[in-house]
Amino acid sequence: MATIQPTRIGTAYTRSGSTDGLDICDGVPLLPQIGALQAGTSFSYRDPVRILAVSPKRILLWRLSGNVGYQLVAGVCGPAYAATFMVEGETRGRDVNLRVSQDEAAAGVFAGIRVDFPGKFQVDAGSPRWTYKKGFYLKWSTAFRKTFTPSIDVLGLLIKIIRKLMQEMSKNSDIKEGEELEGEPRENKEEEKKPEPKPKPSVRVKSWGMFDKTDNTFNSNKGTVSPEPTLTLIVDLVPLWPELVAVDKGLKALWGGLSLGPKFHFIVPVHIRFKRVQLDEAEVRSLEYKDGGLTGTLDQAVDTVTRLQVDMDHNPALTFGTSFYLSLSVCKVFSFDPESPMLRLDRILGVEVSGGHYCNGFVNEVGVETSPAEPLVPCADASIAVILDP
Amino acid sequence: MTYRDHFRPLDRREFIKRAGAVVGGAILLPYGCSESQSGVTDNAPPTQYTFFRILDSSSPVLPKAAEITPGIMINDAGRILFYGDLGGDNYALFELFMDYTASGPVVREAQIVVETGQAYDGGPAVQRIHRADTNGRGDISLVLDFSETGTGPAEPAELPAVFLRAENRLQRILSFGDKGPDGAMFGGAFGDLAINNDRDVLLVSHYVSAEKDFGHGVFSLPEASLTASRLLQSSGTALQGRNDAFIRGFGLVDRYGGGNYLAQTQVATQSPLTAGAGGPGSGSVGSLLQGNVQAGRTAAPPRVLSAPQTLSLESEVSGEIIMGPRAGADNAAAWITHSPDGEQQRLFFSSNARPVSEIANTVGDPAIFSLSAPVLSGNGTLSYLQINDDEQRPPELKVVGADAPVTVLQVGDRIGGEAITGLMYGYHSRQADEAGRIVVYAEFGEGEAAILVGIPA
Repeated sequence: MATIQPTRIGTAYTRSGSTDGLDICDGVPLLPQIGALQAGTSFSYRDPVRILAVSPKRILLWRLSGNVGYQLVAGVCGPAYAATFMVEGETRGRDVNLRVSQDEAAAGVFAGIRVDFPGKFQVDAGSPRWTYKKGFYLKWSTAFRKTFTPSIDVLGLLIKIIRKLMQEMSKNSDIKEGEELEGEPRENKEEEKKPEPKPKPSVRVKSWGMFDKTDNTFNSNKGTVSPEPTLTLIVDLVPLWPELVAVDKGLKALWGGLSLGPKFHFIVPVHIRFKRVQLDEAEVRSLEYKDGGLTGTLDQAVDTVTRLQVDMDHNPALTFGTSFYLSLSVCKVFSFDPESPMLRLDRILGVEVSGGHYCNGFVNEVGVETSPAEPLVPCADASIAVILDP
Repeated sequence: MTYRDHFRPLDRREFIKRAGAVVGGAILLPYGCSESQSGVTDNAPPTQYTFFRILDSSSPVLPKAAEITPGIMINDAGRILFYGDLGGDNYALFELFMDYTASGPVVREAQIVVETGQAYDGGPAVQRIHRADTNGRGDISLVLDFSETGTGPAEPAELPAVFLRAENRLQRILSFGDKGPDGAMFGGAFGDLAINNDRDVLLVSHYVSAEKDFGHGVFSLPEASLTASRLLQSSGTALQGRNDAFIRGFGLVDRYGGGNYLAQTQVATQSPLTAGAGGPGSGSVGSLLQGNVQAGRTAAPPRVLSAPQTLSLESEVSGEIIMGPRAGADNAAAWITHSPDGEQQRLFFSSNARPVSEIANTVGDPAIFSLSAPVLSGNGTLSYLQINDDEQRPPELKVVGADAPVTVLQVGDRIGGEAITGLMYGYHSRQADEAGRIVVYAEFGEGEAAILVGIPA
């Protein structure tokens, strides 16, 4: 009989120090072919369709028109998951009983997207005029015309969001407000060094929906943890343009407002299961979840166990896209909220995920309750059903 | 003063005036200010209403000096609310406690409901008062946004949220990430909202459905609670079973007792979930749906009151909806349609007792320049502001009872011995109460703002 002392299995996890909790950016890629922080592309999109009705002359004294296209340079942190479990148990002969507790899992993705706006945005002011010949009419004059190519580094902003989220997710965090986390996302460091535009865009919806985190659901879900991060991230770019700030302030005086910018939509459901367990050189076969724990049969008897390896299977799906919105409102009189169609970034990135299974092996010394020191090891029999169409 | 005087560089007041035209041309230039035009004299009631000047921006009853804006509401709890400009880019929602028992309405007391720059219950400071509505009980529903305290992303408490002010207590009823009906998760971008006397809140919000689809929806929150909340309308829905008419999003909403609600709706010919880069852009600006929601009942498909002709939907009338639709008693609805070029405006009204009928338009009478958004009172009165394209006909506030529209107030009328130089109306759906009293933004002299209350005779 061998006893398996409580052992932490999973991705990097620390209960003290500056990397408290799970970190998705140091997690396991949901899509190994892409990897975490490795997907990127650029594309342009120009919406030739009006973004707001033009020329309702008898109604509007302000009209907004434009040909607002945008270019995105998209990179992805993640999609990845991070998970941790405490595993303990014992063997009797070749029978194995494992108990899993303190499970935490998080999954997510964020797009590093630099937004360029080549195009034109124009605000016309209509002045009521009167002449003897023509009588009462409106004369339009351009109050603001901007041919702009600002490059907005949304990536840096989003990275801060994700890190902040990680702080928030850790209930016992030691991190002080504003303190830097260790383990910088690899490809983000360069982006982080870039000066941020001032003023920065206002992100109206921030982090909470970007990730999903589950705690202690392994047993209630019969051996599966299923974080399902979803998010609609709405970025208001009006603060970047003084002219539009002036319009917004004017509308504010009428109990209204103006905002416009990109929206990012993310859905990354993932299901994580124990697939295989190995105790030193002995493999646990016929692994199944039963009566609140995992049971199986060793292919060879063991007297002591010093090393625990758990292969975890995950099958993700991924959808993310972007759209452009404009919101213009005045009190209870009108509210324009046109929005472009959603562009499926996953398709543009050439990634079509139809489900599938991936496997990663997590190793730790038995009895070690802190973050595993050993890196991931290859899984046996990893089956892949993700379609990549670059 | 000449017309040229009005076209100097915009100052703030002029911006408001000009932008006021955005809201239906409810901007009045100070022409035609003559007492003789309407025959109304000091304290003499108009045809059906008596108007009283109850508050000026400099009134000492206000806890803080504030410039009155056209965003005014009145409720059956004897209170009037207005959105006041405190200066320095700060605004506040003021509440006036009215006394109607005297010979004329009097403001007995005033307080601030919520003010930008101020923190409540230990939370972050309010950054913007997005929307607000009131009901007959004096409750107020609001969408507030907050200032960010740090340099990083906002804390959850700093995200926009929906509040209810009831029994003089401001409480948060809905925040970003809250779970709604059928597992939906509310986004943090809230749109318009309305509250009725049952404290049922109608709310436009982004959400993520349990099926992980992103949507824009109209939600009903009975008794201002998520407990029995329902998703009434959602983006992606095909209207009338058509595969070329999908709801893309929502603008203004209004609701009344009995479950009657209206939703200004953008309709596109392609589903927002499947449209690609080559798909339609903004879709149609505005259709108008009328629905009914009552506890325990399955919502029937909405009635399309108005839709652009290009959509070929079965609708009561054709035309885009841009300005605020209004819901009233007896399934009443009032709305203005616009022709695609905006040149033509038509004001419609319908209720259980009255089929869809056209009240006014800019088509038959070229002298009418524009119509404001309408206002419905609990007693069935419809009122609106008519802007005339004629120097001899000053802008006039019209009231529609059982008969044709009657002018009850116009620029140039004198109140308290001073001539009205400007009127703005229809900024908010709650500008009339159950008793038929109406509140009006008026300017006197060189633009001194005031609130008028009209008492029906």
